[in-house]
This record gives sequence, structure tokens and C-alpha cells, in this order.
Amino acid sequence: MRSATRAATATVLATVVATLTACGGQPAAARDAADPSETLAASCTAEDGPLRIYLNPWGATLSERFTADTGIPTEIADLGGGEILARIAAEANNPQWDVVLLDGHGSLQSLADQDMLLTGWTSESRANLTAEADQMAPEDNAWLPVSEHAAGLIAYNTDLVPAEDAPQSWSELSGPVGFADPAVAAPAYPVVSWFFQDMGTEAAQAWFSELIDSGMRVYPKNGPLGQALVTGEVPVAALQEQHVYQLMQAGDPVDIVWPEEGALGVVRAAAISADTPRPCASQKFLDWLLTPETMTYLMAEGGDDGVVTPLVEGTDTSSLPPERPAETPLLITDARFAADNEADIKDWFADELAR
Amino acid sequence: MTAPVTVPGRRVRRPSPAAEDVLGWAMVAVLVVLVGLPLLFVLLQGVAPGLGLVRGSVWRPELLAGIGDRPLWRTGLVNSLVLAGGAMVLGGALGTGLALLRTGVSFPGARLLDATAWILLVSPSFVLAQGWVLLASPSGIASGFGQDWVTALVLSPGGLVVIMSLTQYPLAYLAVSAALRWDDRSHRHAAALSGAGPWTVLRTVRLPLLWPAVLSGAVLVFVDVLGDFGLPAALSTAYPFPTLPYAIYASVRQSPVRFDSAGVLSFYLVVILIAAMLLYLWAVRRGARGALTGTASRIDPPPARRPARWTVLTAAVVGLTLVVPLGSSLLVSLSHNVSGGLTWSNLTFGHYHAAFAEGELLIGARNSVLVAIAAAVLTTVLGFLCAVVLTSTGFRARVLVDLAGTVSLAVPGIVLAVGFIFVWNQPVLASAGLALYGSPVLLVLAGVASALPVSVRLQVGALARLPGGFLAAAALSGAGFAARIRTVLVPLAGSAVVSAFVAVLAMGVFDLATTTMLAPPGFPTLPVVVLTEFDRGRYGYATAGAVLSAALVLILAALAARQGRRLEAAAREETR
Repeated sequence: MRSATRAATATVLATVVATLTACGGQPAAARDAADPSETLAASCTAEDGPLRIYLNPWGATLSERFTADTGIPTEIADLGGGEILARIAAEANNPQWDVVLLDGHGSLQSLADQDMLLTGWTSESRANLTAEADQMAPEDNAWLPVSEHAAGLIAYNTDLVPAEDAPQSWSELSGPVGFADPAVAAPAYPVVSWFFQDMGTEAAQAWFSELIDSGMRVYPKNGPLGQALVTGEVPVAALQEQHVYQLMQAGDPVDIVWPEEGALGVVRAAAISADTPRPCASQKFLDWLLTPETMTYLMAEGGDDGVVTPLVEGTDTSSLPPERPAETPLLITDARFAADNEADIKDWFADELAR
Repeated sequence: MTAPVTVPGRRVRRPSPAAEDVLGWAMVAVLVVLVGLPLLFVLLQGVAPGLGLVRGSVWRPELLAGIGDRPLWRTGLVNSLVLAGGAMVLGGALGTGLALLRTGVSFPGARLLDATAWILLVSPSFVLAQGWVLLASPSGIASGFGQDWVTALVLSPGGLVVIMSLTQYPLAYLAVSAALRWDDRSHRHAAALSGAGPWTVLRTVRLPLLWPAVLSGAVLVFVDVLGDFGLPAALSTAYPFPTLPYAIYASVRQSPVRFDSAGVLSFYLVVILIAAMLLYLWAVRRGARGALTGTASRIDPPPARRPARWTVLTAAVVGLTLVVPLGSSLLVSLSHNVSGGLTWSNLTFGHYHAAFAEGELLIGARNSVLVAIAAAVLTTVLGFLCAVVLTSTGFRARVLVDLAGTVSLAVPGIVLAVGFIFVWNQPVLASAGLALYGSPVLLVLAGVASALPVSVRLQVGALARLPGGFLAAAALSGAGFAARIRTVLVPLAGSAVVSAFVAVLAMGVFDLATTTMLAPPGFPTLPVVVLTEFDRGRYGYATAGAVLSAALVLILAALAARQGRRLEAAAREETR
């Protein structure tokens, strides 16, 4: 019986090893993705089955409108940006998504660097992008920018900080300032990474270390950060703009400073999986998304997710809330810099906070 | 987790060893697939990042040394050990003390202690912890009343140890109560005849006999707190206190995703937990040395001399462990503003109205209940069969079942969930028609995997106490293996089966860690909806969801328990 046990154990182990080696995934690019040059969204026929969209903003507002406009059914995973990236990574050897839409073009550049995004396809609506957006987007269409907004502007509690004492620029921040955690909140990394790009790694580390020592507090996401600002737990915060307007509309004692040099911006971007079995439907989706009609609809009907600067020419922006200033200069981290330094910056930040 | 059980005289005639072996190997296979493979995949990421995910992963065992270099990991490890170690001592002492009280004397309201322990056990730890956080956070209820000292007291390492002890002590309470229910009076009578007073009897006779149960109860608290994800998740909005499970969660939810970090951290978590489990097994083995003899009997505690004192103490326990956290949540769910205080103008039913009107919470609740019911049924059946293999068969590889069950109790849900993605999203399974990733079926399987050890443990305890002679008599009368299970074990172990079902069902409804990672697209679950709303800063709405979840869990548990008692009574009637 003991030998039977041993034999069974060996069989189990052998199966495990076989499974691990046999299913070691192939690099995405090596698999049988359809040749993108063969498909052109205007002339191709969408493949059978729902288009699987992993998205952070707009959710069902977007998917239902897409289906109504194109007749293509969808299946959405409406998750946080971090969760989407975790899923995509966990599914690396068997992707279950066709299209991804999230805040943070640096994260999509990372996926592009790992050959996980469809490249070389012809985007019919790339011509709709603003000049700034067209310059930002990679030439091979690995990802396309959709909109941008302030992931961090200076928000302060008016009960605690008189308007004349509120910091007017990023360099004036000190004391118990609130930030969202770049390791957890997707829009928080563009905020932190810009300082590293602008100041250089060493100077940025010294600046953040000083802030942390002087009482800086970090919250997992912008929602709790906004609540902490309202209750005065932190008198000043680098808060995402949609959250600020929400608080101001609710009558909370909050006001903003949009620094002259710019608020810290994040780019919302979309991409197609390199392994999608539905390249035609996916391209139709991106071409549909980057039209002024779609963007106007999403800005008007998308609630907080619609409070953005569209990167599609001709979009009607009259739905923007009155709290948003007319001039909204943004400081955007370069996608390449964001992708290359993501792990290092996040690790340093998390370790520094734990220290 | 299952204690290795050796019952002398149990191995009687085995007319169908083949049936026993088939069952035994089937259980081994189930445990390997549900627990072994996912855990192995996660742990291997710590030494060979990308193994099974991308081609060309490299063997890098040096990654394990990173625990000493990275401040976040070091802090996480230290925090986890402080929290779990502190709760083990304090929660173990509290549970033991209350169990001694409950079984030592009778007084009005004593049964409330049992009820409180069960309610705490089945309530989601996230909801309880969130209640404490809402009370004590710098912008919480207490500060709204001007009581800022509560924040400093609760949101400190010592305060968190106390919270975890108040939340997790029932494991120790139930373990020690179970041991105390049966008492061999001859030991005590001998001591009393030798002139020992009640305290001397407690100190020199009862406590030494009880020691294994006390130790195992404390270790269970340690294991549960160490792997707990609910407190760190609830705490993250109020107080930076990284623990190993939260660091694992963060490492698989950030970009770029760090499965290697998750692997390394899981490795240390599992090593610590296995060490704790070995201690536990050692304690249980020591306890199995025949402390009880045939003269043992169920004890009925004598009336207390000063019952009022104990009734007040019981009320204090109920107040501190249940009323404070759940009351805080209830208050927030009925308030416009968390720190707005207890005023009419701050009172609102709007959050509950929104919870019912927006629908997502209700859909999440329906999905979670369906998954929990399916998982509970499957878990209870598998748990019963595992328990049968462990206690009532001569299956030689029992140790494998035992080991897998023991190890899997120690694996935190978040680790298991990541492993489930690795295993169940393999292309080879998809081509075999087993593409379970992205389907609710996987949530059920993950629920089974995380609850099976508890279920096995509850049922093994009951089966091991059954007199072996019953099975022998049935076997001698010609009853086959299946008939013996059906006609002897099931009716006699009915209450344990029901308890196991209730516990698993209740735990499954709010399985935060698993559903966060595995919930398929378009399949919202209750814990994910609640956590998402907390993240968005909609505390009132999210808390209304948490309160409704707790109510749902308790109602389901009560209904299942009631139904179970009826079935059991009916089965007894039939057996007679």
C-alpha cells in the first residue's frame, strides 16, 4: 500500500510538472492572431460572439450605446484600472479580452512592450484625433488616446485653509497633504510619475521623502481621499478632478486651485488584444469610440467619467460642469517614461511609505 | 484542517477495501486539484516568475531573500506576526476564559455567549472590521462626538490586536467549549478527595487536561488572523498598517502586476502557517492520549453563586464584540455624513433606498447567495466524505487527505484565487472543454476550496467521537461500506453536517478575497459591490450594503440551522 501511495504521489507530481511545462504560455505575438492588415473596420464583417471589453470608465453607458449603434453584442468587465491590469496579466497565456479602455497610457505602453497589443492595424478614425493626441499615440496604433483629465489638482478644505493661504503651485505643497496610492489607484501613478520625470529620480525621491516626513498621508483611492479632505483629516489633497466637482456640487467645504503650470494629467486610452479572435469587431469599436458623436454622447451621459478633455476633434464639451475652469493645462508624463519606470517608482513609493 | 485521527478498535472487518480506496483516492484527487495545484502555481512564481504563464521563465530562488531587503515586505511580515501573535494570546485567553465560564456555571443569558460566538464566526470579517474603522477613523463616528482619543486608541498596533481578538476569539471559545462539554469526573473527584479546593482543581487537573484544546484554539486564532484579508482591506482607508495578505493583494492588483512578489510573500505566509499548524497537530496529538475514559459524561454546569455578575459580563462581551462594530455600521448607513453625529438632520434612509433602487447590490446579493449555496452543498458533501475517509476507513494514504486539508486551511483566500486563475485559464483546459475561468462555476469551486478544510474539520470532530462499535456491528451484520455511511454515520453525525453546512454557507456569501479576483465579467458579487463603493468614498451606501450583507448572512445561517435541526430530528425518528 505504501508503494501505491508513492506511485500515486509520483503520478500527481508528474501531472503537475507536465501541466506546467506543457502549458507554459507562448509569447502573444507568436500565436495565431489574425493578420491585422487584412482587416479594415469599414469593410470587414464583425466576428460572431460578444466583444469582450475590459474597461474602467463609462461601463454599460458605453457598451449599450455601442451595441445600439453597430449591432455588435458586448460583454464588459467594469473594473478598477489595477484590477483590469491584474486580470490581463493573469490571463497572459490565454487572454479573455478583446479591447481594453482605461486611464493611464503608460500602463498600455507597458502591455505594448510585452507584445500583448495588436499593432499595425489601420485606424480610420485616427485622423479625428487632435494634433496633440496624434503626436502622443504610437505610430503602430498599439494604443490610441481617447481623452485626458486632471488626475491630481490642488484641492483644499475651505473651513481649514483660507483661499489666500491655499498652495498655488505644486512646489508649495507641504505638511499633511493627501495623495492617492500609486500602487493601488490607477490614476495616482500619472500624478507621482510626473514629478519623477520633471525633477529627476533623486530630486523627486528627496521631495516625496520630505513630504512624507512632514505628514503626507496616502489613501488607497480617490474616493476615500476626497472624504478625508471633506472631514479635514487632510487640509489639502492632490485629488482627481471628477471627485472634487462631486464634492463641490454636494455642498462640501472644498475648493480647487488649478496651478498655472498645470494639473497632473492622466490620458485615457484604448487598445486591442494581440490575441483577439475578433479583430474586426475590435477595430470597429475603436473607430466608433474615436468619433465626435460618440465622445459627445459619452461626455454628456457618462456622469463623472464624462468630465474630461476630449482628444477627438469636433466633440461638444458643453456638458462639462461649471466648476471646471475654462483653461485646463495638464502636465502629462511621457508614456515611454511612465512604462519604463513604473515598477521602480511604485516599489520605491510603497517602501518609503512603509519605512 | 483535520487532525489525524486514530481511533483504537475502529478498523474492523473491511468487506470492500476497493470502495474505501476509490473514495480515498477520489478525495486526494479533489484536494490536489482544488488546493494543491493552485497553491503550487502561486508558490512557484516566487522562485520562477512567469512559470506556466510565459515561455522562458527562469529559476530565481534568490528572489526569496527579498523579504529582508524591501521595507514594505519587512513591515508587512512584522505587522502580520504582531497582529496574529497578539490576537493568538489575547483572543485565545478571552475564548478560553469565556468557555470556562460558560461550561463552569449556569446563569441567565449564558447561551448568549454561544450565539455571539457563532454570529461572529459567520459574520464577514470585513464588515466587522469596517464597523470598527467607521467608529475610530480620524473622520469617523467617535471624532464626530468629539472623542478623538478613540482614534489614537483603536488605530494603533495594540488597538488592532484587541479588535482582532474581539472578532476572532470564537475559534478558541468553540474549541475549548467542545473539550469542556465532556468531563471525566473521576479526576476531579480524586483531587477533591485529596483536599483540593475548586481553584486547585482548576489549576492542577482541569487546565492541564484542557491545555491541548486551549493551545489548538489559540493557534486557530493565529492562523485565521494571519491569513485574514478583511481587516487590512477595511483598514486601508484609515490607517497605514500593511500586512502580508494585503501586500499580496496589492502586488497582484498593480501595474505591472507582480506575481513574483505575490509568490515570495505567499511563500513566507504559508511557511509561518504550516509551522503554526504543526504546533496545532502536536497539541491535538497530545490531547488524544486518552484523557477521557469510558466514564466521561456530558456536564451540566451548576448554577452560579453570583449570576448577576456573569450576566453583566456576558452583556459586556456581546456589546463590545457585536453591538459596537455592527452598531457603528448601522449608524453610518443611516447617516448623511459619517462624522455628522447623532442628530435628526443627519438621519436618512436614503442609502437603503438607493441600495434597493440601484439594483446592483441586489444583483450582487443574488449572485453571491447562489454561489454560496452551490459551494456549501458541494463542500459539505466533499467534507463529509473526507471526514469518512479520515475516521472510518482503513485507507492507507489518509495522511495525504489530512495534509492537504491541513495546509489548505492555512492558505489565504487571495493566494488561492490567484492560483485559480493560473490553473483554470490554461489553454490546455480550454481545449479540453474545461474553460471555467470567467464563469461563475469557478467561483463555486474556489468557494469549495477555501471552505473545505473548515467543513472537514467540523465533521471529523463529530465522526471521531462516534463509538466504533456501531460501525463494527453494522459491518458484521453485512452492511456494505455505502450502507454503513448511510445508515450509521449520516444520522449520528447529522448535527455536525448541518453545522458545517451553515458555516460554509454563511462564509461563502461574503467571500471578499476570492470574488475580488475571480468574479466573471458582468457577474457582480455582494462583497465586490460593497468594496467598490467604499473605494468610491460612498461610505453611507457601501455601509448600507455591508449591513444588508450581514443581515443576509445571519438570516441564511439561522434558516439553514433550523431546517437542519428538523431534518436531523426526522432522520433520528426514522432510524429508531
